[in-house]
Amino acid sequence: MADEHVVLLESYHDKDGYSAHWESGDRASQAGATASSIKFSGRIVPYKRDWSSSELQNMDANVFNQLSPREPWGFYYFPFGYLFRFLGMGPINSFGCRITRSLPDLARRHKNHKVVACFGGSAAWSIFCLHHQMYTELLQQRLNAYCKEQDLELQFTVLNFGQHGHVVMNEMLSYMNFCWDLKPDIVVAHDGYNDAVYGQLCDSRVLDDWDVIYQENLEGWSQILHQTADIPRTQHSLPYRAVNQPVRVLKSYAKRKRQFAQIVRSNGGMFVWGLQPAASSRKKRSPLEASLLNRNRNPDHAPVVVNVEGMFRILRQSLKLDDDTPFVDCDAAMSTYGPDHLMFGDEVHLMPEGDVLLAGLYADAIAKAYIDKGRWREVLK
Amino acid sequence: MADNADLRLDVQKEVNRLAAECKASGFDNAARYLADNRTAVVEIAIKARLEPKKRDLPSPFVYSMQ
Amino acid sequence: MKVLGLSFGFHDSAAALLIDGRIVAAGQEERFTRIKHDADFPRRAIEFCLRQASISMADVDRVVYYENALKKFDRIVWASNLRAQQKSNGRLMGRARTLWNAATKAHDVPPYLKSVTHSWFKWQKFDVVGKISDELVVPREKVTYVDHHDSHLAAAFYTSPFDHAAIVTMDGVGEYETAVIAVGRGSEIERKLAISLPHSIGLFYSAFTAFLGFEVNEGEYKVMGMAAFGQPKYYDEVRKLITLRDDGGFEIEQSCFEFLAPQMLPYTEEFLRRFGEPREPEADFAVQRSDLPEDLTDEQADSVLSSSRHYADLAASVQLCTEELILHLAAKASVIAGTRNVCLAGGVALNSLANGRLIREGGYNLFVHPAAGDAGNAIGAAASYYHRTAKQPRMQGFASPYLGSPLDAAEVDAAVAESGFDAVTTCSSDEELAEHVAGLLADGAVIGWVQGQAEWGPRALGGRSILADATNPAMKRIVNERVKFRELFRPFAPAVTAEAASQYFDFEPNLAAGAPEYYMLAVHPVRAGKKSVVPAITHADGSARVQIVTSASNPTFHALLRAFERRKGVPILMNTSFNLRGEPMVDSPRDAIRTFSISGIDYLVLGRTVVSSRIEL
Repeated sequence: MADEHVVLLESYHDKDGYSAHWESGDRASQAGATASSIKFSGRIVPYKRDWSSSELQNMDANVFNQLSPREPWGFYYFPFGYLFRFLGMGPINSFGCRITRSLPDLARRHKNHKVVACFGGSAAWSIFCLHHQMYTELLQQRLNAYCKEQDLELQFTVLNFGQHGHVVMNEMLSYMNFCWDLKPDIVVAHDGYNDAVYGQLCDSRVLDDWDVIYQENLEGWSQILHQTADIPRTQHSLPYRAVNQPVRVLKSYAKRKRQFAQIVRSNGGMFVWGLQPAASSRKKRSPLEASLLNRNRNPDHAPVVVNVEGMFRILRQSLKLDDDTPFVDCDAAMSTYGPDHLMFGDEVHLMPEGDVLLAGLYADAIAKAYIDKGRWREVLK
Repeated sequence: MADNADLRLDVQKEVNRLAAECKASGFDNAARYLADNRTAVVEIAIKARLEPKKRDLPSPFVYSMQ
Repeated sequence: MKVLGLSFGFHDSAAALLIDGRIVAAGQEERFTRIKHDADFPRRAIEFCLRQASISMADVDRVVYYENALKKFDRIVWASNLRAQQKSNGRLMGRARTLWNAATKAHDVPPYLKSVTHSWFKWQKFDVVGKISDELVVPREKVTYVDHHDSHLAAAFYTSPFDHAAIVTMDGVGEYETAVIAVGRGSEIERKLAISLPHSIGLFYSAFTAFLGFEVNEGEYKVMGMAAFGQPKYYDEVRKLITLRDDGGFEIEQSCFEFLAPQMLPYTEEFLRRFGEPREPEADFAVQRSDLPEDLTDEQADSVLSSSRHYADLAASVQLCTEELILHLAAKASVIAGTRNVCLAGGVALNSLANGRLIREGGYNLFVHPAAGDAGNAIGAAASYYHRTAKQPRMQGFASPYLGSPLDAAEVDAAVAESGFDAVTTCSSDEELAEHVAGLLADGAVIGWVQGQAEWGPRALGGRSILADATNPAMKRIVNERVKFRELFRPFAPAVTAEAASQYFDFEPNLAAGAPEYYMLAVHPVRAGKKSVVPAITHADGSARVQIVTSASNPTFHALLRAFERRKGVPILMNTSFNLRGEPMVDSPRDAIRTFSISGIDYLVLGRTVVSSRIEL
């Protein structure tokens, strides 16, 4: 992360849409665990500052945290996927998830207390949102408000298992590691982008033969581990090249996601198939949004990112799900919003207003498929 | 490739050669420019030579598309 | 004798191989690298040419580059000095003067020249011979170069069917020259007149292209498309900028333009004073209320309609003036040469509206090199060396525009196998293919059509095309919305059987080899009674940029057109290039599958294999 000088979170206005009301200088001493700053790109980013005691506690919470560099941002080794840490946007648990609740305690919850576990990548982690702005927090509020409105004695807790870079396989590993005993009543898989892009980049043999999609930089980890830097990776120069065809990637993605759905159902949960939105869905953008997208665009990603819009279109046209599996097309929904809305901070990550939309979409889907249909009465303990 | 005496010498020779070739071919504007601004042109050329033409992949500890 | 011609470094890299007077292969680098307008060294295009000829670099006798680099740099310095001199004479106005004041105070070398010098050293543009020698591992003695417009002249004449012709080349600028008139006879080309910077038709047109919100060297044909929606109301204002000389030359008034040392925009504040505010790139364009979203207020809609008409009128005015200029040059060239045969090359030769007028009004026998821009100079450079230096007998003219990558059956099979698509049909014969695909087209499908060798030049001619039913009035919107995502004012062009062409279009098809209509390089009116029959390819002004197809020029495509005629009674298909917006035309089966995958195309035809877009996930 670059050095940040811009200071306390201020309101977000002026004629160009950037915060006009800021003072430069190092205000770290005045910052607390929840204070943030706005970069002039318009994103919320944390201060460089001393860590809070809870953050330090996480740093020593397990051996993989202890073995990792003591840094506020990064991807660190963990035997199942990886551990991603990002301090300063709000509380995270020892595996980097934005979860403050005790999972063992939740596993012992009352039958009228329903848990929604949300999975996905960095967009699901809500990297441009503070804790209270995350779609998972808003979803929790909306579901509880709905139950109160319907006079139902139900309580919802929504947990965010999103992690930067996660593809569906990582989501499954997280589910099996952390959610098996928890038995979430509902699982939301809010993904699509990482599988779509990484799937185009990875070794064709593992994709074609095994439907395996992985993050391409992990080939670099292998080079470091085995000191084989002289052996070229699948992506050996910039810009990135799409080595796998879009439809082939989609087939692997859909297969893995169906696998995930089967695992969730076998453990008593309802699976919600979410398609995360990409900025390509936004045809009419405000000047600020266009500026953010332009500023944060990485031209080296263009050869693969350019295919995402078409892949999402194929997915929504071709996917056949049973009635028990709600399909929430956040990408299509996003396209209906015009230039008065600030939805994206870059190609895939949402600004707080975008998370509000997500929360609404998932709340409506869950209300319809789970609450109104009375599925909450089915208890499998 | 670091800026060093060999590179500087190479570039100086190249600029001189270019200026002479332009003059011999009757391209007086180019010849005069290269000769009159020799020092500046050499600096520009060294800077250009030192710029990498290809970019390396980012650190593998950065997840490219996250 | 084997001559490899190369163009690269500035626009549209390409390679072409001439063996004993025959063009054996030619390819544009962008098709291989998938980088639009790739200007880098054409490594892959060269590999393709050698592979196609089954030879190695050691077998090549000469490598010829398409321009004189040092002469070009001389012009750049001259232009920069002239600009500085004008500034010190107080002729620069406003912002331009401010910029130059800052530059001359802070730097010994003006910023423009500094930036160019830097780029030239970084990319080895000073020593092109050395660069080619290093890249291809050939001795320097094997490498040579020809002047830019000599490359264009050669590309225009030597590939034409004419033994005697007037030659006109027109572009932005080569070394110093922007336009040349010459006479071609046999193997000889004799220059008669040359126009130099700052007077340039290409830069003139490009300045208006930029003003109208389009990308220079990419959006010029969008100006032509927009022109059809306007009236030349600003003709007088624009025409004042051009002086036509009796000797066939012309001058462009410079106060409105920045052609000498362009850093940001090619037009000046004086231009803005005369023509108003520039059009915002991607601004909405509509000429009727029904083309606009319903949720716009009346005030918003009126504003879009009014500004659209204004810019369309300006486009129409610029187009008309440019046509006059081109006709003027061609007329003089024809007189000087003493023949009605006229050959054109240089980027401005792609102005197909002007070409149509040259044919219909001028009565010229016209040949336009299909890759008339700088890519074509790969052929031109080779041809120029072959005739003028090596004194070889006159080469064969173009037999066909299909000079690019062939379609390999094994590659098709492999690409389909890895594609993820399951619904694949293989036709057993070309006849079955034509009937099958014609049926799909008649049912409203949009088809990606990949056959034989890829086209040379920017037009898709049934080698790498997207095809659709020209009789369906909704098809223009369908293809635009699902596939091309183009501006509303961009028309789609027709392919028609040569035997039926004059029934539908108001021109007499010249079936001689090399006629511009084989290469979709001339615009003609759609006959009055036929506009409603082929609405998808009839532009707002009732015109179309026609491709004629014969059973000799492209048998598979011709058979398809005939099969479609048997179903719909009309042997015309909408033919647009097989690519999505912002990417080069597809080349290999893999490219085609990738583009097909993410587009809204219904079926992909690769040789006799038909792939349906329907999949199950």
